[in-house]
Amino acid sequence: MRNTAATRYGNRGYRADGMTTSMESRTGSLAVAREAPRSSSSLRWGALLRIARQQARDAMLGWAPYLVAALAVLIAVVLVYNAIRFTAESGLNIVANPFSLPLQTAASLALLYVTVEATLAIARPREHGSLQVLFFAPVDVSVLIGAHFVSGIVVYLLFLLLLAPPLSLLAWVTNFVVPVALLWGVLLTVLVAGLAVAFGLFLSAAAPSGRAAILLLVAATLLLLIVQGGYAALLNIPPTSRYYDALLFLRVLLRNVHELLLWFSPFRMLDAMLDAALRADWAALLQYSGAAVGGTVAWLAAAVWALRRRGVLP
Amino acid sequence: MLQTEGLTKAYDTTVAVQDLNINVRAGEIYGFLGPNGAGKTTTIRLLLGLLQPTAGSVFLFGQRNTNDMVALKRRIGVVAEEPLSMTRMTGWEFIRFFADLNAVPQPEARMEALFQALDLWDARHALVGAYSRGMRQKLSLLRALVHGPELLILDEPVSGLDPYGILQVRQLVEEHRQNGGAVLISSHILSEIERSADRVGILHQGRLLVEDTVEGIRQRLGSARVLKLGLVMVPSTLPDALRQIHNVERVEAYDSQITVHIVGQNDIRPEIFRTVVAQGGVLLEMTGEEMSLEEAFVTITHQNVEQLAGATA
Repeated sequence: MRNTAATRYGNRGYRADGMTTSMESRTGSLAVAREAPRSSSSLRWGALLRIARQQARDAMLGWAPYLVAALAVLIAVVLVYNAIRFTAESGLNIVANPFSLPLQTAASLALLYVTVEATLAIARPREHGSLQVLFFAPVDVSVLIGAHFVSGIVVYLLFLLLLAPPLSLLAWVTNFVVPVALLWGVLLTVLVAGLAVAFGLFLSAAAPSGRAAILLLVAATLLLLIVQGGYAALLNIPPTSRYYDALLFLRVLLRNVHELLLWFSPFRMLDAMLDAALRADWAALLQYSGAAVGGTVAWLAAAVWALRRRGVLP
Repeated sequence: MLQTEGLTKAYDTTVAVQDLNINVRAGEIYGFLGPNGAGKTTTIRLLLGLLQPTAGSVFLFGQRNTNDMVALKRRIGVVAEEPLSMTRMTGWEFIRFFADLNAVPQPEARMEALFQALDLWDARHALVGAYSRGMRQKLSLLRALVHGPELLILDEPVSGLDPYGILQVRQLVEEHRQNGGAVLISSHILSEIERSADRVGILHQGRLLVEDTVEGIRQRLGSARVLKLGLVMVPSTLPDALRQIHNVERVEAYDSQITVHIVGQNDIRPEIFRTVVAQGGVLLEMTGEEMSLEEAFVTITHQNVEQLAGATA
């Protein structure tokens, strides 16, 4: 005879006073163990870590991080090969820190990957209408943003871990030494990754759709490139007058914007951080780290505000 | 367990929910009815804090839902019309994920029982993306039940299910009620609500038109009871004679059968019997038909539309 669902699924009973009436006698081990009420903060932390774990797992089960990692290794191989060839061809000239640029490129690619992931993390499921399902559970806006932030950092670290064996092999094969300070600098870029992920989450929370979020990211990136490229291009154009040339004004303007971006653009900050690490300039490293942490906190707060404002419904 | 006071949600040009007052008690199944666009889903989103009300309040377990929604949500299970994005997970992983979010300790035994109760056990290791619509619907119910909530909020829970699936869901909901839990169920399948709900609220254009038991709603309407008379033959004067009886609204005669539409609550069957005999008829049978919830629903919403039309004319 078919059992009733209740005997099999072990539902709890409830009394008017809120206490659970036991159905263990009918259901044996199937009943939910009676647990003490959990505080909101403990539920929040539990949910945050669980969602972060799931997101990181989903990201690492996809093909994208491995494709990006393979690209990073390929670029590193080409750059190191060029360094070797340059050294061989130029005779006396040697390349200082041949692993600086490959590591910087790899870290930049990892940064780009986690930023794109963060930019889609909220906007895409919200657009599909599936984000609300998470909010049926004990999850709120800050938990969701926090979870995506943690998963972004974890994925970045896993990405660096993924790159470690092939790059170590490359260093061993070429007999080039990777300075320890540079490795510390790469590790510290996790703070910059936090800034990039927080910025991506803000875009994701604020944009009406996944496509719009990506477009905003592309627009922001283009703006940075235009400022950097524009400044470099203007430096190559000679001024016609020493005092009244508009070019000089533009140069000064772009230089100031360029300097300002150092404190806002994760990619510029990454460059500066690795450079400071190579120079063993710990004071500069500390400054950049502080700026990255401050920027991260500000973007995370903005992301929470934006998600509260826009909501979790499509 | 669940109460709203003057709950209102207005957008720029429309009012989705207007001054809604409902009360769902422990051990009760509350049916929430309304045509498309009536405001049912908006109401459910307001209850869960996914939307902020323009006015009014929601009380869950006696607490205002703005107080500590995270802790309150743990006592609620929700099934909504939802697409599932976590299609890289298997069914088992999906439910385990939500069990963990709800901090259910050692949920495996309960999960196994629930998967078996809803006939998903064999498909537990298949990816959610490969589930059929009915299986996903069952998975949603499973998700809503895995943490043993006190209050179930079900939006179209049997949508996409086959008759056997509907039966399984009905059984689980009924058992939840029997265990003292409360259920708010919104469905277009009126027969489902009629069969399971203790009380029914009918929402139309954002307003709660009526809230009562199914029987109470029929009585409130007080009409549309129908008596069917089977006779050996219908005397020509009988239909007119029946029309003279108080509370008889309409009489239809066809062949050897007469259909009498009655308004009001009086039992006029003895009078009908006497009239048939007095007119020389021989009554073989008299059967009564109650108004179905579907008919009541149509009548109530239709009346309301007419009232609104009258008010604006």
